[in-house]
Amino acid sequence: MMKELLRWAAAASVLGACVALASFMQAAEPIKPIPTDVVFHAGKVALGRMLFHEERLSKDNSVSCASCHDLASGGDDGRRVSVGVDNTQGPINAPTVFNAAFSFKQFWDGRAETLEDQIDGPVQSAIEMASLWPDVVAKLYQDESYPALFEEVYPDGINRANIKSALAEFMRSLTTPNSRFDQWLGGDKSALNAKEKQGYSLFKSYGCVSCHQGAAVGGNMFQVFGVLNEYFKRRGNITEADMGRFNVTGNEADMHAFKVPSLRMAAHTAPYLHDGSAATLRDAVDIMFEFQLGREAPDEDKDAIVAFIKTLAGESEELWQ
Amino acid sequence: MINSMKIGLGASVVIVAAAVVLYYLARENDPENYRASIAQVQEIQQLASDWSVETARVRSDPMADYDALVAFVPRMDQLKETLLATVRGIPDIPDRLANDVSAYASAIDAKEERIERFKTANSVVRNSARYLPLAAANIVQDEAAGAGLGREVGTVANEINDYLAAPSDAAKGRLKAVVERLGAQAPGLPERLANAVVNFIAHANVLLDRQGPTDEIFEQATSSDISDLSVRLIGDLRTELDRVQQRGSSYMNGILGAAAALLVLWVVLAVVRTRPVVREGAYAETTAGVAAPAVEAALTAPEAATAVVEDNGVAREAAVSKKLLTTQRILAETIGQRIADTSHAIAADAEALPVENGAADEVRRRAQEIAELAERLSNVSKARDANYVLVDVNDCLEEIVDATNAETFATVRQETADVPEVFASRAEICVMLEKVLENSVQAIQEKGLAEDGAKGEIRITTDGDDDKATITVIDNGVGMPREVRERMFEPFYSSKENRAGLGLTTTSHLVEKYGGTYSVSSHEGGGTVTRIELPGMASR
Repeated sequence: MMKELLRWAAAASVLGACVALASFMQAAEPIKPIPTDVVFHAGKVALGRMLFHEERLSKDNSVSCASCHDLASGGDDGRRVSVGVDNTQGPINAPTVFNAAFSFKQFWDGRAETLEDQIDGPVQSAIEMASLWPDVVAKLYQDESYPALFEEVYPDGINRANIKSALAEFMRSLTTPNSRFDQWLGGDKSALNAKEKQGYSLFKSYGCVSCHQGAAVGGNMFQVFGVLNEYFKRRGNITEADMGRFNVTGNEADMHAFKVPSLRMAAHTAPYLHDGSAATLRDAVDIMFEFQLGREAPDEDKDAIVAFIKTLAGESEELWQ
Repeated sequence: MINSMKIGLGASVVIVAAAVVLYYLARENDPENYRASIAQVQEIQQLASDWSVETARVRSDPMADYDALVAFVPRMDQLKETLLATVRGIPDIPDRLANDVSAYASAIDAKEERIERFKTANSVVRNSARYLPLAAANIVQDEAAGAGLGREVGTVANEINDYLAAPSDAAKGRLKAVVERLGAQAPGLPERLANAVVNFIAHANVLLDRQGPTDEIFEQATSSDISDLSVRLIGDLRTELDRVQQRGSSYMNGILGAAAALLVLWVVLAVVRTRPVVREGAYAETTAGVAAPAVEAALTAPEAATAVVEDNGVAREAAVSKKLLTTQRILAETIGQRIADTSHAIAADAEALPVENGAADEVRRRAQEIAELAERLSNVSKARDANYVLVDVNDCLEEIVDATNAETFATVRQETADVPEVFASRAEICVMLEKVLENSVQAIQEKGLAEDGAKGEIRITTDGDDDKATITVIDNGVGMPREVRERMFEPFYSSKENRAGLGLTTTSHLVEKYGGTYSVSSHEGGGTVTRIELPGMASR
């Protein structure tokens, strides 16, 4: 009897130690789960959703936010570079709008501090929506439902700031929690298969995690593209967009520096990189190994990393609708 | 009379305007924004310190994520904007302080940018530092690598490791040369080994080139400059806060000074208006304060003045005016002395307050100011002492009976005898007697004799021997109860609601001034006998 009890006690302490160790290990993970307990203003989100799909934001009523950030297919447009009004090609690959709220700054070059600020870019850009805010406001006022809908949420009605506020609140709601990887982080060890776990382990040991970390697995720092090999010299045909953050700061140290993109929705947002030059996730991983990590890896390691990355995509009501 | 009113009103407007200006200056001079900005700087100081701690944590942990570090940015930006807005809300902020605050905001921006650059640099360096031994192992373990290359790579890897612990320019230069020589061997090697060597060299160069600058940017990003600047800024803000608070109390002093000036001005004006006001104006009874009745009297004065002018014409106005000036002078003298005495008493009381109580000094200082003001007031009146002449008190009688409208209310009988002339200001002697008569008229009015149809009676007799003139005024008015008799010589004491209570004070002051004696005998309901003896010319 005594022996039995002792055995139980020993088992319990071992279990306790394991739990403690596990929670310690979890705290030490460089990737954090996407929070699920964030509350949004439902009215603003609903209004923002309408505006997000509103083509009247553009000069000729042809392009909406969703044109380049198709929520159903992962929050981007699947093109190498995006297409604006008059079928004008843009200079850069459209990033996904999912989890943009976690980005510490907006755009590849981080030229906007907030989601609200960022909206001026596409709306006013001559090659995106090419609109003037007063025209947008006027068009929305002519609509049957917008004036009343705005009135409900914003007592001062339709104006530039309120349009941006509603759109930003909607974008803040576009997070993708509860991914298989997050479930695994949360303790469900069966959420990932052996290859995916191996991929995460390699993701850390090869050093990918030096830049792709945090809740968004990226999106919280700038890094120079071509740290260990000169990407742009190899690719050639350097454009203004390729200069990255240098365009914002004029600082030579920021030449070819970009915001490290979030990998959360990478499974669904091909093509990759700011220039859309990587057609598949595996291509992107190859480029990262060569130019950012400056090292080689066997194919099976890279495949495992790709498999891991695909487990990062979570759920959203807006996805796959 | 009209002129004194105009001057009084004009001066009051100026004083009130000055007080209003001071009030607005005091409001503009709000120290609240200084207090708020000090608290905000303290908050920034704390957050900057936490930010540095988090930066150091990230540096020491190769698996750290940057989310917590990034979260500082919006918080800091918000605090900074709040501080700038607070400082913008300070009117007339000294340029130096405004510049300090701008420099402070720039230092915050610089910290943010440095931490941003540190993150970028740190990611690269921490990655290469971790990979370098593996890169070396790849070469050493490659069968194609000779023992010499393996040893060389191992040594370089170790030396770079040492360099990372203590970077120096000399070590950096030497290692760069060694790494370059190593690279020169790569082209002759088999492809896989050559790639391994190239990788090793690339990471070695990253470490040699970037470790120093990364350390440097870390040192800058986490330096105590925000803390130092905070301390200095808080010091400057506190200095300025003190100055503003001091200025604020000066404004308050100014406003109080203006109030005091207004008070003194209206006391003087009230005195000017005493006679008509006593007759027609509305006085409040007070025994404690100086201000209220004087100011109220002054407020009712203009109508009274106008009434007098309209009733009696210009000649009458001139006579009244002259007499009023005399009254004014006399009362200014009396009240001035009284205020001086009171303020000396206040100063003496203030001495008893605890030394550490700063208000005591203030009270003393103010009391002293008021005393000086009062002294000047009474001196002015003394300096203007009327020309003394030989006055026959009988000459005043007609004038005062007329002035007090005594015959409207009472049968006035005058029994005059030859009296010795008094060496005095004629006006003052007349005022002295007029006040007595006025009191009698008032007493008769109060008894309501006039309304009953049974007229009151007043008998004025003068009598003289060699060395003194005696004036006796007897009325059949209400008389005075004991308590009134006891206090009737106190300035501003009045048993009557609508009287200033200056009449008998004036009389007793003047009697005293000319070395006479003054006695009042009265009982409630039974009339009053007032007797004044003035020493004649011969006795002086």
